[in-house]
Amino acid sequence: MARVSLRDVNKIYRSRHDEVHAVSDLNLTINDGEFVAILGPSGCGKTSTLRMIVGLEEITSGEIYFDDVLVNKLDSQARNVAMAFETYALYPNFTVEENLAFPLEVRGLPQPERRKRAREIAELLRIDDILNQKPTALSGGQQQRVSLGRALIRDPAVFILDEVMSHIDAHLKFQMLFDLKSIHQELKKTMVYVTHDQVEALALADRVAVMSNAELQQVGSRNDLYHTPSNVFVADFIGEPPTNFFDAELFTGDNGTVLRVPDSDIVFQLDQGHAQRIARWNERELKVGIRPQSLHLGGDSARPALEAEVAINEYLGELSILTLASGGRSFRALVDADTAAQRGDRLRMHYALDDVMVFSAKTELIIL
Amino acid sequence: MVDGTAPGDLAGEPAAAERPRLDRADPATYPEWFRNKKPRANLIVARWVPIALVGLPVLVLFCIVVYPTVWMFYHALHDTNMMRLFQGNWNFIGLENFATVLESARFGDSIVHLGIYLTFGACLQVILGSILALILYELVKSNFLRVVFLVAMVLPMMLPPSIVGVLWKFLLTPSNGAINQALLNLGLIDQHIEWFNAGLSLWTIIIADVWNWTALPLLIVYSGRVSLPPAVYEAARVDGAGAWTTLRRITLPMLKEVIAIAFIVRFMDAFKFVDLVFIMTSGGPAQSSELPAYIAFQRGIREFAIGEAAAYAILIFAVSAVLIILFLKYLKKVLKAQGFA
Repeated sequence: MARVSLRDVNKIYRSRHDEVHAVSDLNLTINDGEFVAILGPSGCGKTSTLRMIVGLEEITSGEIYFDDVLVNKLDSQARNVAMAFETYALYPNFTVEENLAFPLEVRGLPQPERRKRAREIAELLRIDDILNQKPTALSGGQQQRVSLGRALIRDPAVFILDEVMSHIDAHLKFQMLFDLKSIHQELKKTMVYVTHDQVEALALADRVAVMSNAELQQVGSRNDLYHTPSNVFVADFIGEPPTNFFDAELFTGDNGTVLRVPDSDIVFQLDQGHAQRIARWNERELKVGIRPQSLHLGGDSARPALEAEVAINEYLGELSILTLASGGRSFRALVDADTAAQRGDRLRMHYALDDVMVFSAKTELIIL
Repeated sequence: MVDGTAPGDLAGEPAAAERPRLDRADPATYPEWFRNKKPRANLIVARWVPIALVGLPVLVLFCIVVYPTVWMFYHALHDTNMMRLFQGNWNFIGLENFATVLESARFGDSIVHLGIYLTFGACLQVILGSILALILYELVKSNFLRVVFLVAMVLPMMLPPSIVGVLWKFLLTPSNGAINQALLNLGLIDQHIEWFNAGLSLWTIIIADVWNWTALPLLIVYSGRVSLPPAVYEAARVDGAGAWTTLRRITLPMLKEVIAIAFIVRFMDAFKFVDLVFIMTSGGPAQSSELPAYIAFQRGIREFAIGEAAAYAILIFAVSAVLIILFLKYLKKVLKAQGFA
């Protein structure tokens, strides 16, 4: 078990004509026994970060520590990490059982013990019926579970899981998220999980590190990311459907200070304490964000609300996504599926003052 | 989640206003580059074109493959030699040619020679080639150096066999050849080695052939190693496998089929191996370095015992046909295992 700390880690890929800054000044500490997910869109540097932790990629600058040991120069073997690869990387000439047991074979465990442990892990991952098959005969999801099993069979300092659920079908994924979470709770091992799927990240991890454009945007629990996103990117990336954003400006009128969206009749009410805080930033151009989940139908007409016309009603089973239009702007709201809203209906969507997020338009950092 | 329309589109923002919408039913809306494409001229302008395109190669193949093969089978059953061939006077003698060949000590000896050549020539080439290929891939990390070494090692294969034969004959000349001289100077031997003596001449040919052909298995195995998935090696590193374990448990098993193919290619070549034998020793001294193909060549082309040479050729053909069938069966199995067939 180990605490993993990354200090000012940079990764620059150099080719003859080009230089790609894949990871930029990354600082992140993953505590002993913690489950951390690194979440970000494709090409944001999350896999490069992972490969540097594992030792498959040279660190351009910065330091990586396992507990208090600097591991920059250590080979993957010496770091004692276990990794499940996105591309599975199974040994094609081995059966599933041999694949699972290979890390144990390398460590010189006797054959009966290896078989026993391979069977146990296979049962856990529901692949005990394919133990004698070769990887080429398996589906993507099965291969992925074998790859996961090969990582979990060991007793490493850190588990590194790279997109291990990307090819598993939705139904099984639900079950495996649960299994993986229980495995972690039982083993209490440090785990780093890389994914582009926020559902996986939020479901599994104690803390989620959001990356974009080679930079770490925010690290925090689900609540931190959801309610106090550090910038526009995090607010947009976390949450489904994505947050509605409006360009807005502060406007002081008869009813106190409000946020007004120029060239439209959308106005956001503000708590006067909040208004003063925004005013102190002295930013002319602001960005207002409100989550589709924060907009509600019905209720007290005195509460602040956005009035808009329904353009599209997308029915998603439990819930519906309404796309509403108002004065040339459109936004989305998540409502109960029973809502009988039709195109052209005018609705009042209420919101709580606390759910309005305000960002600086220039720096995109959160103000409120 | 469902993401039908971006919210921006609804509000009438000109998202993709510049480009006219493509209507599949209306060719006028197709992009300009698509409408401007010129239709290709029809390749088949007349009935005789396809017939000629297929027919000519078939005719050529017939002349240089089918006709000589039939001719060979025919004369294997006749007492044809040069005189009789020109006189048009040859007689059917059944399988007598085959009996002559199979009963001759010369043929038996040549089979033994072939066995030695296969074991110490062809096998050695594949083993040596594989080792060199893996050393080249695993130890030389600079791409430029790899290419330099590869080119250097492939050069012998690029030389015509006649040059290789003359070159090695020259190098191995017993009295003042470079190799004997070098060995003498190094103190490894105290008198000249008679490379072209009865006991040694076959081995001398093998040395030259190994030098000439080791590059082929090297290239085959090297390209096989290059195409192995790097992720598997990363997994092995993370799993804690050292260099030796990786080689023994991962690289060699994955290269098994490729190495087998290198073996088969060299084995099939062995059955038609004539050139170096002809140039370096002419099968001598006293037929001590003759291989079956060389005897067929010697009897047929140089001594005009056409019937007997044909019998040799058919025997070689039969053995190599069996080998090729086994090879194709194996190849099919490999391809099936890899999911190609």
